[in-house]
Amino acid sequence: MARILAVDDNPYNLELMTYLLVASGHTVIPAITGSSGFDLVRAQRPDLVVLDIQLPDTDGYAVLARLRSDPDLAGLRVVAVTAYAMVGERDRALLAGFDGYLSKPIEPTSFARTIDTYLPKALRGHEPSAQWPEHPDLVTTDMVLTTMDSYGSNEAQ
Amino acid sequence: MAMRPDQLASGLLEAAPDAIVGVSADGVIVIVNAQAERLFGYPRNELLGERLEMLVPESAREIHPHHRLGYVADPSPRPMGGGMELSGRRRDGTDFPAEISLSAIETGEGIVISAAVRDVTDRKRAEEKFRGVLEAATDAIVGVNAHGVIVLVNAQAERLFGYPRDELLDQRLETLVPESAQLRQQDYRDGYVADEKPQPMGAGMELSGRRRDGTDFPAEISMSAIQTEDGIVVAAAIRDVSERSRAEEKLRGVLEAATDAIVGVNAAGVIVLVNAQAERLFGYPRDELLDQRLETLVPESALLRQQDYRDGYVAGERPQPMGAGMELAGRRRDGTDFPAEISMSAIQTEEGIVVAAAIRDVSERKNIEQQLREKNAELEKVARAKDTFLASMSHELRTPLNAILGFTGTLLMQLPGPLNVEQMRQLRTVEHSGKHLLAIINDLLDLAKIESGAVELVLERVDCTDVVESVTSSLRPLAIDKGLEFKVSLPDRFVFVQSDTRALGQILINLVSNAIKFTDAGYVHVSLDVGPDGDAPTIAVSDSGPGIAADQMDRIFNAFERAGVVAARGKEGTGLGLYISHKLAELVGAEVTVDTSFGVGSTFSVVLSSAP
Repeated sequence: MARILAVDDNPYNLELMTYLLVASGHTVIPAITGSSGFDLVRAQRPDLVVLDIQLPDTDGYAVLARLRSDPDLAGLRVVAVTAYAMVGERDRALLAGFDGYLSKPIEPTSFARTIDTYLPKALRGHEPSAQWPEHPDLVTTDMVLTTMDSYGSNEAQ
Repeated sequence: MAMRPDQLASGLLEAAPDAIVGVSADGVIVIVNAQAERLFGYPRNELLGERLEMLVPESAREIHPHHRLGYVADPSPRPMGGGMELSGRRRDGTDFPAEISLSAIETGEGIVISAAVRDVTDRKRAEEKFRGVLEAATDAIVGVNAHGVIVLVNAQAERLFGYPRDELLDQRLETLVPESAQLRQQDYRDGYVADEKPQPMGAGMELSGRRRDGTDFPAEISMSAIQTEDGIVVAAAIRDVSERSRAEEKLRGVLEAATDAIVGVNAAGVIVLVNAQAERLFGYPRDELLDQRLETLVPESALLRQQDYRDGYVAGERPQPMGAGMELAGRRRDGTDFPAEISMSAIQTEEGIVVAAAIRDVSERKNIEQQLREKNAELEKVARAKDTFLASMSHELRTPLNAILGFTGTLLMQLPGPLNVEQMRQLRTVEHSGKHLLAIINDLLDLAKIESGAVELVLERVDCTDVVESVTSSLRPLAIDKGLEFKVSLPDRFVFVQSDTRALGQILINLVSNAIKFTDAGYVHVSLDVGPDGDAPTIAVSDSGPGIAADQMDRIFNAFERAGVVAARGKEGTGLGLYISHKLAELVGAEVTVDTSFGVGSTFSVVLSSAP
């Protein structure tokens, strides 16, 4: 079980990732902007960041650069998950310093397994569970949006 | 105090600069002055009363009395000898060249002939030396006195004009100068004589000489005035410049034939040479350009650089073309400027170094270059915009598909809860259609990139066996799943082709997955073959599928054509695979061909280019 920060500006896609990761037993911290994602990383120190590239305020590359230039966050793992899937995008992402690159649409059956490979060794070994209905942390888009709204109002204060 | 007449005569006699010897009509010496004693080396008493012939060289002694008698018969004062070379004999027996003037004096004792004798040894020596210089000159030299009469010629002049010396002397100079040039010639000569200052004419006079046989030749004439005992003599050094004129004419031809404007500048920066193109380019007539400074034609901004180059050239004295690359500006007579490309080279001429500048107006080229730059920038902008558009479109289409396929997947994984059979079947249809849509989106984007030229190809040495192996091994499971025989035959050596790895891989994936897709039973074979000379490696993908009907053959490589609709029914496909393969093959210099038999099977081949 790991604490994973997921950043995506599309709430349905954020819900999908969250759902798949939570179903695999992880805790997910959702964010829909680059700057809120960065602040949450500093505040929550997740084990992994899953970062979309196209974001409303800044892009994933700029967020990555900020994360990488912060000495407190050395060793943080960041995986790009993006709908930018043209030739060269993977190389560009890896060159910029992402630890991994996944293109959308993601493959739901293997997504959590793939993310697992980027986790610190001690935290690996999780699979989506078919026991979902009994899972206590059901995540929905509405939930994510509510979380974001409260976060956004916090940020405004 | 009054002086006696004989005393006066004696004083005059002794004061005379010349040696004076007075002789009676019968040849006896009656008067001698001190100069005569000194000149001939006799004391006065050894001369008085002796015969005059003792002072005359032996060669002339016999004839001398006859001349004397001739003079007595007509005793007017005159130079003796009438142009003959005279000599005197000293007491010691040596002779010296003499100039002698005679006059007759009536005395009480009869007529006395007075001879003033001057030793002209020094002058003769000088003249001889001068003669030596004259003859040593390479040019023909003709000396003309103030009356325009030739008084002096050298052997070169004889040779050049074809006259013997004595025919030239006493002729007028005009004889040697054709009518056309006479006037000018006259002017120059007069000018010289009037000035009385020797000054070389230098080159630049275009005259011609006329030979004795009446033929003319182009001549370069340098003149200088020489002050002589007989007055001013203008010496003209005449050179036959036929050879040079021909060369110059040729050069002029080259100059005028040049497409560039050419301006020649001497070491002082003064224009000495222009061609018609230069007149046209700068808008000046030739005579306004000559003697101007080059700066007239080169605007202020470029002055310094221009100056540097010119000085460098003249100092270097080495002809070296400047070549292109100098961006200067030319200024026309009307004050307008134009961008110019200037090539310079130094030419050694008779008048010193001339730097020839070939000047080309590159306005048009500059304009075209500017237009091309703008057009390029515009095209780059369009290409960038197209790229950005395609990337954005890809992103925007994939984003909703992510949720569609993703949540379909979670449902099928039954993460939210169990599904019944019909729910499962319908969700599989959603998933299938979603994946089909994704395939179409991918193909369309590929196609858009190919058609817009945005696809980046790296043509390089590609190991063909490697590409075939990786494609077939990734698609083999599909064939096996369908229960097809899947065979791959490769040569037992590397086959290198000139291609783009990704494009070649994509072509092959399309062909092999098509073969698997359309073949329900039997086999799919992939082989790589090389021609007998290792030429035109060919990848063949054969199947035992339905084949393609003859009437469909010309349409299979078109977009959205799915050949043999009947056969394709129920088969998943975008209708773009073959079209994309065909386009990609074109881009990498390969060709996709098909050999098919309806109902039996098809073979699609990719014919490649061997790597050099």
